[in-house]
Amino acid sequence: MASGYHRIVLGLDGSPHSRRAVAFVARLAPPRGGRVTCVRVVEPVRLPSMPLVPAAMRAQIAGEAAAIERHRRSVAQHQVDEAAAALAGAGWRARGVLRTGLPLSELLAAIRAERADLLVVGARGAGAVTHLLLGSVAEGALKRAPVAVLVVK
Amino acid sequence: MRPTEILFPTDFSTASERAGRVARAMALESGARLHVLSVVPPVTDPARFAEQVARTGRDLGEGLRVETALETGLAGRRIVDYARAKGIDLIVLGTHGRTGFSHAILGSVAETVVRLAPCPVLTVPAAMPERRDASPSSAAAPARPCLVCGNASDELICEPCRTRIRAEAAGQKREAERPGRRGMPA
Repeated sequence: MASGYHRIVLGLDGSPHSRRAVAFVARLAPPRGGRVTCVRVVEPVRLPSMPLVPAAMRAQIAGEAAAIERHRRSVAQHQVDEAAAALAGAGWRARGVLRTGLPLSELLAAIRAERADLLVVGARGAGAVTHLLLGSVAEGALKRAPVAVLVVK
Repeated sequence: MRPTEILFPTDFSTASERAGRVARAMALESGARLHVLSVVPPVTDPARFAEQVARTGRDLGEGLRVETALETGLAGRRIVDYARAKGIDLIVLGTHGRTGFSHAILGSVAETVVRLAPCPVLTVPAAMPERRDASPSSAAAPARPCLVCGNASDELICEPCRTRIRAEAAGQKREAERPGRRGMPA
């Protein structure tokens, strides 16, 4: 992209919009030294406090939560690897990164960490309210990202 | 398929100048046609903007296919309508980075566009750090930043912003006083 953007953070969530975001960036001609970091944020499984639950059962629930989280991470890892491979095929230097936490704040942190100059996100993602025209992450990114934001539909 | 029709809506502010350069670069690179669109607020004479939009088109258009257009109405909606009508596949838009109160009263064109656009939208913030290769032309000392858009202005609120605020207020008043609205006689 001759437009001066060299370091791109691409926020992924496995939704069709974020797949289109990958495809869009892949079609752009990468500038010299252009690199993309595909970031997938995994939200930790939060357990309610269980003071009245017997210890054995608590351990079992915690174990299942850990299994869910492992599964989520492996799916996420697969998604970032796939995206990074697609971008590398288009000539970008690309890698995938998993972060744990809240999607928007982790994306903003990734922009800082990568010293990115462009954030690319899908218009709306994997959240429950898919009828919105703009997801909460995209909207928050527009309001709070210190860099240019490309919202792909 | 790379973008072939790129739309750059402008309000002639510093914020959109930056977006204009980005739009031009992307159009050059992908061989796309560049559309320069200016939306004039309702109840404003569009004639004075016609020359300005043509000039912006010439400035950005060297070596490019350029189309300029002037529309009247609410900026966000008109931009989206234009994008649909012309089969635009990328909108490059400057943002003032207004937040809080001034954001709440003025609304945000960028927000409307991003929400409703049929295609990807690239927002370029005004405060985006740029490489320092431009000559320090700002040494000509701008009077002071406009309270609303931050562009240099001789007055507290610059002329384009005043016009826009007035037009938007007029539009809202019209809407509020439409017969049949809550609290108004039918």
